[in-house]
Amino acid sequence: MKSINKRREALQTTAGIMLVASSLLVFDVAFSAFEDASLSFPLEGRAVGEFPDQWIHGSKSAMDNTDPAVQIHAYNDHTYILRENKAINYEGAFMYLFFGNGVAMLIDQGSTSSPALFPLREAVDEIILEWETRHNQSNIELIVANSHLHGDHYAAWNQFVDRPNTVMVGLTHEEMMAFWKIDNYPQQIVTYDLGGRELVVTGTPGHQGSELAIYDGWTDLLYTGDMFYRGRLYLDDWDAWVSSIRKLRSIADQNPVAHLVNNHIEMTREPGVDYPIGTTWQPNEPPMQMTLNMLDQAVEATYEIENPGIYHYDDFLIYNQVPWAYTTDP
Amino acid sequence: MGIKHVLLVFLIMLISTSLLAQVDFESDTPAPGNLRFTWIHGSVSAMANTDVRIQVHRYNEHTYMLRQNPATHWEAPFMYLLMGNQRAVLLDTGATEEAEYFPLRQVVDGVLQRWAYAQGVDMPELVVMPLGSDQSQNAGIGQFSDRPNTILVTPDADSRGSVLENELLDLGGRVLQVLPTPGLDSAAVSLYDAWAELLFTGNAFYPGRLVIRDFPAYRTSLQALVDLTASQSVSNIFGGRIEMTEHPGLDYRLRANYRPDERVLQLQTQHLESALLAVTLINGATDIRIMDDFILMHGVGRGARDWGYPVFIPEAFQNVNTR
Repeated sequence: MKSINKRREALQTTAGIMLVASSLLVFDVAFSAFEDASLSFPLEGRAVGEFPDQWIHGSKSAMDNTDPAVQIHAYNDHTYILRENKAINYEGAFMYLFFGNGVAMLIDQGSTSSPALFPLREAVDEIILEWETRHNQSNIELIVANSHLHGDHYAAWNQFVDRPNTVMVGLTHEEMMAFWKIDNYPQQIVTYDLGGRELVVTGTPGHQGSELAIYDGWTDLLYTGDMFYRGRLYLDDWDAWVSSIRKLRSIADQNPVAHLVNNHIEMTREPGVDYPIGTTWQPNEPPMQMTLNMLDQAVEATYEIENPGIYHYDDFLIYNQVPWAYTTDP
Repeated sequence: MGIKHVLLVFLIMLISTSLLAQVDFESDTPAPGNLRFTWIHGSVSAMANTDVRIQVHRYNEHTYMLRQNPATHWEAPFMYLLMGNQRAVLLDTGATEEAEYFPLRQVVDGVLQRWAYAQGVDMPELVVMPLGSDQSQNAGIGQFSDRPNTILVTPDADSRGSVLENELLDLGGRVLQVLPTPGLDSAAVSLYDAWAELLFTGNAFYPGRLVIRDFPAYRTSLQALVDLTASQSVSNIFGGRIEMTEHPGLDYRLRANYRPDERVLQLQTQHLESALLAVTLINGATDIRIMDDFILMHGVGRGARDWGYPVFIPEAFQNVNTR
């Protein structure tokens, strides 16, 4: 009697363990299958997105500004654009957060280091947590990368150095190239797999000698950083910029481009007129995103300009080898 | 002690009380003044700034200095409030129109009320007088438009003529001498206060980028100021703003709203003399002269000289590498 009971007990236990194990297995398989199915980033077609009608743009009295320190804008489900408040730093720099399966990439970290004044990590953590919940993923990796090596775009890099599960690309040319696997800068065009999302990356010096442009085939966004935006294009190396702009044009010839996105807005809505450097209130800004027509105009400029100086175009100004702090104030 | 004595004491007390209300501004020795403090100078993040909107400093009993917070406007101009026996005058009115961001009238009223109470007098008449036509000197004038017992003097000869007599502004015992000082701004005037031995030069002469628009006029103005300091003693020259750092010859970028290590505001007569010398050397040419305490610019825009680059004239565009 005793032995029968014992045997039955053992049988029950075994069955129980098997039941739990198999259900776990089924759940796991189902979960991973669900995970795979949920996020694909096909190059065909276009994942559309939206820009805000107006970005936060500072205020007349900076100390009376009530906007958030970091504006978070979801361009689409897996693409976020962030802007630093101009009342914190006049640069009003844009930052980008791209998501792939199990991974997110933050490009640029704004112009202010202090987490108390500019809580970028808090904002990024909040976006990632919300994204993980929405897409049933957890503990995804964060890659902290940079478009180029200027202080108004990496100031809050320090906020991420002690973040778990984070890859810091680094703030030297060598570290950047090693990460992207570029061994022939700037000519080489590489593709990077961000968790199933294919990014085309290439060197675009001219403004700064380690700058990169990124083409995202899923959204058809072409990110041009500081070397092409609505503002004063400060060019240290004219010949390098000429090659970079023409290369962007050829990338745009070979790939569909929805918008050109970038790092700053410095132009007013009046063609050829900029908000002067240091402006902390831009009440009637034009949009940040640019069009291929504007890229064509830049390509044209590469054939027109021969000497250092300031050249006015409708949607950007070219500061060819002119110090950044030089202004046209009367 | 007889009733006679009591009456005498009472009489003396009565006379001395009435004397208290009348300040004697005819003293031979300079009025004291205190500058042992630091001006508010903005913050890394203007949005997080917690300073007062207008800093008030009592230079002496009848002379107040005011500064606009750089976090409300990057020009961060200075204003001066001087009191006499009949009137008070506010020199310059700041760079922001809105009382919400820049409550100039409220602050001036507060200072005047406390001053009048301490002196045992009624609220004096107020003259509001920008020293030039620059936006950073005139923006706040509208806040005083409906203020009772107030004279608004706009920066033009007609309006100024209505309060000046023989180029003198009489505050009641305290008489200010007014000198036209055009050159940077055609409407600019400077004021000399013989009692406090102060020279108020507004935006005509201050520790910053002095962009000359009318060369002969500016040379004449500096000569007039130097001549004045030869015959009168000047303990401090107070201008309208600060654009220099404490490092000799180094200025802040235009529109910088955080300025740690600012140079002090006050200039002395030797600065006027060196400015006149530099202007004589410029002699009408396109030039930038970087002095320790100010920068003289002629024939170029205000932005032609900016932070981080020693000299900048458009010709320098030809340098192939700018870094």
